[in-house]
Parts: sequence; structure tokens; C-alpha cells
Amino acid sequence: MSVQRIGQLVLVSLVNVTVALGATQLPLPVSGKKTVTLTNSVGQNLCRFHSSAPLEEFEGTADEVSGSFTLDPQNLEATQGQIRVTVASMRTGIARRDEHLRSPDWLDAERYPTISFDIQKLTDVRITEQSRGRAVLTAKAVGLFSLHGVQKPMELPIMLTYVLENAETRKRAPGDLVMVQSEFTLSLRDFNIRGRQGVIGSRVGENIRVWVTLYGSAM
Amino acid sequence: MRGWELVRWLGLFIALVVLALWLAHGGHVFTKDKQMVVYREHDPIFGTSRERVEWKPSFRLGLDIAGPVAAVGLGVWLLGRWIRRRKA
Repeated sequence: MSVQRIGQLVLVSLVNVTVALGATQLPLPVSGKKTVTLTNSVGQNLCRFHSSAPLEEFEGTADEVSGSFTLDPQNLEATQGQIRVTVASMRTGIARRDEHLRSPDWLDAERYPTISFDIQKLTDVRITEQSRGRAVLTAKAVGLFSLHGVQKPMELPIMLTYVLENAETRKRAPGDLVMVQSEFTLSLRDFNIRGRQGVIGSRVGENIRVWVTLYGSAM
Repeated sequence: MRGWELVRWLGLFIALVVLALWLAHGGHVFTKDKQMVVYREHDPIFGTSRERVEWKPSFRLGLDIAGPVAAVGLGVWLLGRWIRRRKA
């Protein structure tokens, strides 16, 4: 048996083991685990939310988004980390409503100053685009969502774009760059947010649509 | 009597102006003091559009203020009309 044949067999075996373990590899030449740290120098880390109720529709943002996650290019499913959003950074366009939003009746920013998502793993990872130095994948981020002191297991759909470090990326931040986008719905009832009596369902929607865009550098 | 007539028509005028202003500001239920401005630009690194959001001071009259003001204006006008008819 030639050395070339043995090499082929080893490669096939490795691929089979990887498939058996359900590990998806990043189709880019990245070695070793990477820690992705969110930074606004790459792009504005932002949560946007939309409430729809019979009396009013409104949009809001939260721009104090921080956190990090580790990404194993050989096993994307093993991604873990935490994303945090500061409740005090939430804006809706009406100063009085923002105050109400942070009050004990609503998100109670004093007792629960952050909203967080602890990423435990990724599932359903699919590489959707692969070009020179850039890969895009979709997945479900499985983890614990903490809001208003209530923790709830959730699966959030994500789209992750990974860009290898180059002259252009270095203008924003050192290392490879990562962008994560997600869109999901939160039920206020699930997180024990009751608000003032009669407001939820008339002026504030029972379900809040959320769009998240995260930017980070991987080192 | 003439002074009261002036107040009466002024009440109606204020009510109509406030309602027109409320409609011109978008007819919102609640008064807004800031407006979300979204800047979109192509991001060549990620191959998608990049958004940047800012909140800019912007007063937009809502029905929560316009409603009571218009109601008082209309009330003055109706009261003046009632007094005028009563005296006639």
C-alpha cells in the first residue's frame, strides 16, 4: 500500500469521524479556538425592537451591547459565550416611556440591569456562502436567555459572517472579523413582565420583535 | 361682550391649529421627543449593508397633548356660543 493511499484513508477516516461527531468546520484556513470580543470599532453593536399594539406602534434600540464567545473553527457547534445588553441603554423616542421601561413595573433596571444570552452551543449549522477570505453560516444558537430575573432556554436563529484578517479589516480592528445577525420574538409574559395594568395588549405588544446585530474581532 | 367673542373664536382657532399640527406631525398617540435616524451603507468587508442608528431630538406632537388642548379650545368656543344664545 502506497504512502499516498494510506494518507487518503486517514483523511477519509478523519472526515468520517468529524461527520459522526456532527462537527461543522469553518471553511477557512483558521487554526485554533478563537475568542470573539464584541467591539463597536468593527460596526455598531445594536439591538432593535418593535412593539405593535392597537393604540401604538413603536421602535426602540439598545446600544450598550457587550460580550464575547469562543468559536472553534473545527467544531462550530461547540461555540460558547455570553452577550449582554444594558437595560439603561434602551431608547424608544419618548423620554417618559424610557423611564417607565426601566421602572420596577417593567424591566426593573435597578434590580436587573442587564439582559443576557448565554450561548451553550450551536445547532443546525449550515455553511451558506464561501468566498475568498469570507464564510457565511446559519445556525441556531442554543442557550439561556435572561431577562427581568427570569431565565428561559431559547434557540435563536443566527447568521454569522466570518472574515479573515486583511488590510481592510485591520483598519477597523486587529484579527479576523465576525458579524452575527439574529431576529426573534420575545414574549413579555414568558419573562414575567406585567407592566402597568391594561397597558400590555393596548399600548405595548405582548410579543416584542427583536433584531440584533453584533460585530466583533476574533483573536 | 366683544372681548368674550374674541376669546370664543380664539378658542376655536387654537383647537384647529393644534389638531392640524398633530396631523402634520404624523397623528401619533403619544408625543415624541426624539426620532430614530437609521444610516445605511454598503459594508464591503461583510458584503452586506451596515446600519448605524442615532436618536436625534425631534418634537412630534401626540394626541396626549393635542387632544386636551383642542378639547379646551373647543370647549371655550362652545361655551361662548351657549352664552351668546342665552343672552340673545
